[in-house]
Amino acid sequence: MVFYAIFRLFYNALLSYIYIYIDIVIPQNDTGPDGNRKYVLIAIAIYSTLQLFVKGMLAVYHHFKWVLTDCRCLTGMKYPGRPDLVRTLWR
Amino acid sequence: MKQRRRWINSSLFAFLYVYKNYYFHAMESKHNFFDKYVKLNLSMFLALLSLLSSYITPSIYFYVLLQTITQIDITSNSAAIAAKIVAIAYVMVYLVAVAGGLTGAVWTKHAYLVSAVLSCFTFAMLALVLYNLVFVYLGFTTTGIDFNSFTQVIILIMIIVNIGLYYFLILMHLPTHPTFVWRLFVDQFSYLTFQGAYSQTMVSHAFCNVDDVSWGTKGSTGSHGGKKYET
Repeated sequence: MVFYAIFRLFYNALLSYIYIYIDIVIPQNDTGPDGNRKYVLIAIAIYSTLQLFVKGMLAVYHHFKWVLTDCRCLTGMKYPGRPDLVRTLWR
Repeated sequence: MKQRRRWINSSLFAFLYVYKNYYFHAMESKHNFFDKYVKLNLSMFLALLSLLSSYITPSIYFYVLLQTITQIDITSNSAAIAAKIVAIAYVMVYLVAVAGGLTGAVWTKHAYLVSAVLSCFTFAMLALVLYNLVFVYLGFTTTGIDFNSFTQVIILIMIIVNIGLYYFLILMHLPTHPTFVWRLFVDQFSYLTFQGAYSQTMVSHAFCNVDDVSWGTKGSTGSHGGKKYET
């Protein structure tokens, strides 16, 4: 377990070094905003935003599919006894 | 801590099992073509990405903390020094969490201290990211938003997508689950406060004890009924 923990720390340290190398060491001679553009920071932001966007779209799809089918919120309920059963379960 | 360790590790292994076998089970199911070949694969890919992200979270957290402080004033030496001190403090706290996770039961009684420090880091990070977005990247008090700048436009889009989509996802449940929506808003502060504990302390404790196959505290408290025991 100690080895596993150290290995995990090691590759996180290595990744941190790579981030710093790309964003700080390479453009260290430039002083303007373009030269100091943080590619890794922007890449992390784009990666997480894309993930959130796709997951969000799937969540929207599933929710409205549920609203229009199983829940029957618009056309009447498919299983009238289900809300009481769910409430009982949560209690 | 013990329960959370069990949940995190069992979720990890459950996901690995599902990831290995889902395709065969999906083929035998009655799902339609879109569900089987598109939506399920996309969902599993996203789950895999989330798993990979959880492995590299400490490095991303460290780097964002370092850069957000440095960027407050890129020409200032004091900002650079403060960034290094705070980043090293974060590393030390994380190492304490890992070392504590390896030592096991004794440390878990004091884990809340590490979690409290990590909560402070969470709020500090939120404030730093907000400051960086508004004043450094979008230049609200200096240059303003330049719609010809790729960086500024993409950051603006990302802010809209992240915040807008987050609140849309919550508010779309308002007609069907108003109580849960209200609780989401009310509990937001608590969620942020405990984020340091849940996403870092407990995760590091879990992976340091991945060989522990006990059932956590299940059955060890009176509320669960039966004899008090701990395996």
